[in-house]
Amino acid sequence: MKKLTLLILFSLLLLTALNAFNTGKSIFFADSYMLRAKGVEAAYWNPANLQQKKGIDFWVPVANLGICINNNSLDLDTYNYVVSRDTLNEMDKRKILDKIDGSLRSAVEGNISIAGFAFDNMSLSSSLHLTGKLALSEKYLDLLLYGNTDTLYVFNKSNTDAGGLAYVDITFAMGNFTLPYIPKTIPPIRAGFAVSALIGAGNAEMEEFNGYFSSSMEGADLRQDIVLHTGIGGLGQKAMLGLASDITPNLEVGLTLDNLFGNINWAFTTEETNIQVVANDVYAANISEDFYDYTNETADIGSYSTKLPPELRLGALYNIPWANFSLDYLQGFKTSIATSGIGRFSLAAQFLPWDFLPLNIGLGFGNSQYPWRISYGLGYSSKKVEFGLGWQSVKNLIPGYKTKGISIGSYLKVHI
Amino acid sequence: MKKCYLLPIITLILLSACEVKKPTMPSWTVDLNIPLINDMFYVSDLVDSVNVVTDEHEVLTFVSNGEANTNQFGNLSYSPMVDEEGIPILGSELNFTVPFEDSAGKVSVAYAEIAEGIFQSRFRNLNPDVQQISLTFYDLYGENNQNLVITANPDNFGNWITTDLEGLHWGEANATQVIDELHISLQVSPALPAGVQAAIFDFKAMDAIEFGEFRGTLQDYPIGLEDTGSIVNIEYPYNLNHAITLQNAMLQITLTNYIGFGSVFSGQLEAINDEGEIYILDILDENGNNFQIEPSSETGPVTVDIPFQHNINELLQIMPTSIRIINGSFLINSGDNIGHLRPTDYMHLDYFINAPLIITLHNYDIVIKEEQEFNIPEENRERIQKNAVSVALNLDIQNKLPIGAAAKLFFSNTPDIDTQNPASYAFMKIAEIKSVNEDAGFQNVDLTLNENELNVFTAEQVYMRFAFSFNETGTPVTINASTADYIHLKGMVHATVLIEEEN
Repeated sequence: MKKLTLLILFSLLLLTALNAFNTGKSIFFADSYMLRAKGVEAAYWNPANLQQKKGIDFWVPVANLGICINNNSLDLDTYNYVVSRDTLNEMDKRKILDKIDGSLRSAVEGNISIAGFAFDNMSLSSSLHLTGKLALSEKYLDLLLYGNTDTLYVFNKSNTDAGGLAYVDITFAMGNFTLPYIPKTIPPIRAGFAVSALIGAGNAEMEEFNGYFSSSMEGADLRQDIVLHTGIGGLGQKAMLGLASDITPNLEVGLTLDNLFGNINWAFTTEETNIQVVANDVYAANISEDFYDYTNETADIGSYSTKLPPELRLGALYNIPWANFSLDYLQGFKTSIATSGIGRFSLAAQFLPWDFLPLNIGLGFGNSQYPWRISYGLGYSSKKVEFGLGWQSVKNLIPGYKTKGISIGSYLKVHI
Repeated sequence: MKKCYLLPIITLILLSACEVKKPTMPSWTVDLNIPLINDMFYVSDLVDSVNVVTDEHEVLTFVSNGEANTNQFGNLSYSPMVDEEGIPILGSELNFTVPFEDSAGKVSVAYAEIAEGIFQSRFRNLNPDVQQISLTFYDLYGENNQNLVITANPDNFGNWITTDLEGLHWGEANATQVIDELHISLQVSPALPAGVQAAIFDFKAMDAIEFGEFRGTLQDYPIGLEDTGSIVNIEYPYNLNHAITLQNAMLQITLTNYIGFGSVFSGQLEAINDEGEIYILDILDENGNNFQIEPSSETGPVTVDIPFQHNINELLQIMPTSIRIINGSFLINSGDNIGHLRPTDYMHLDYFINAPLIITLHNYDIVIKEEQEFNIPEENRERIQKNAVSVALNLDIQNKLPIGAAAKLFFSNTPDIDTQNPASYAFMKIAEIKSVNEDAGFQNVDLTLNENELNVFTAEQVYMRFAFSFNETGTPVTINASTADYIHLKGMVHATVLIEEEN
């Protein structure tokens, strides 16, 4: 049982802060993908680039997917080190704790295409989005490894959190509109928009997490208050505006504003769970079976909303005959389960030794909520079909012992 | 550029080459700090309002009550020893008196109910004409307050006539004067001429007369105190009597006197300690005099308090295990004052022992005789053996009492721990607490068990013996029981525990 617990713990540790990606193929480029997305994908990255010259671009269901699990602290090397030790000494404990910066943050994210097609300058698509996050205060691991050596341990939502969100979008997008009234000295600017109806499948949000544990000569005190909102079945919407312009024959720049009016309203089955554990002045000498008060109350509540805060993305793409390079910057306006309020850059390159065989590499620069990562991808491209497979290594150049998470992405499109 | 192919291929190879080791749980130690206790133990909690109380100054005081009775007074014995013979009876009538007093001089009667007794009378040398002689005793009454009359006739002339006095009473009920002679009248029938001798009269009262209800005076009349047994029994737990000396105590006897005579109480307190040492103390007042007991009134008993406080300390120096009254007696000397009593009258004594806990402490090792035996369950033994690395008990003790002490705990896996023989125990822990006079704040006591000492608890049987000693005070200290007199005990267990996978 303890082995299983250990395995689950380490599996959870592979999860990290959210880095919401919109489509599977973006994993190939560490999300430096705003101006690279074409066809159906443009509806999720920059609808200004919806410009099918002829035919219809199809997403093959399920084949366009991305799955990411990672964490901000631990890696396979640490895991192997821990399980290979007979005894953890003080140095081992310190080594483990030093890898954790305040919180052990982990996340899982999935994006699976359901269906999608694009023609002319519009598209209609649907995909399933799954996100989950878990943050565990470093103090819990400190307690586990060292015991209660401090007199006071405080836990709050900033270092311990959990949540999950699952929804399906149905997105309609139109693009390739040339903005009028632009002086001729300025290159034409394309514009586009996407509107999405969001069908919420499930949501769990920790509204409140406050607690402390103290032990001293004055006794042991424990208090933990958790308020959890859960919802099943919801409806919502979001919109995206995008601009793009080829400012030189080789250089394209773009801008998007995503998650406009982003919101999912959970209204079908909504509950609030209040969990409270309180124990005051506990001593071993007078401990009894009811030395603590535990309440777990679940009540139906009215509808509530999961906000999807707006995100601003800026991008540039430079093309040369045998390669192209891109730089993206993403700035969210608020941190949520699906967005980050801290900006980050990503850089990507695609090499074309042969036109049909693109090689991709991407680098996502990290921030305090988002560990840096590097992506690799290999694909096949022809006039009729495109497919590829890519992966991502978190906080390590290549997937290996030091990797703190991996992502796998794939795509399969057919052009008729 | 074709070399670019190599990069993802190498990545795949590297990723697939990663070894994921079989999950096995390592072991490690954690330090657990477990609050054990945080309680204030008030001296006042010892107060049970029965045997342990607080006095008006909130001094903790041991009290004990007891009671004893004298015997019921019973019948009062009176020995007149009267033998009057040869009283000539001339003519037909004679009035005369016979001295009638207690030969011992102790009892004088004003009124008495006769419970038992006789006297004898005889007529001899009778004139042949005499047919009957009547004797009237004016001081003796029958049921209807009629005087006792004895009649002699020819059938018993010349013989001793014995008169049973039971049921008669002597004197009048409310008499205030003692009677020291019998008033007697003789009537001869038929009447003889004056000067003619009718007979010679003899009278004897040589046997003791027992009085019931009595009024009169008593002189030098002792009443013995029934053996009261021990009025105080003190059990000193753990030979505590060797470690402390009580400095103050009070014994108060409240005497309820149902007897209508005052008396002087005399007696001794005899204290015996557990070593057989005896200390005897005369029961005297502060001036060295015996206590005077007032007589009961006509309407009810009188209560007299007899306090002993001034010299009871002498008796406590031997830390007695029992105290009793010996040679107790009440001596009645009423003088000319008329007293009263009934056979059922007695004296009731209520004892009240009051010993404020003002003590001098001595440095004496008190070893608890009872050896504690613990049976450690197998599961716990295994946990201690496998998981416990070290355990420490850290205590913060605030001692607000003027008593300092050192406690010793002896542990062994074999019974019969001899605290003087280190070979008989595995280890010993000592905790020393200073008195409030030496340290009024929290005092830290750290008791740490190392791995070897913990191993003692991996055996099925563990034996523990407890010993303690007080710090010598030299001078008496007072144990109060106010809200400021307590021991505040805070404890924390620090345990280093090995965490490992259970097999």
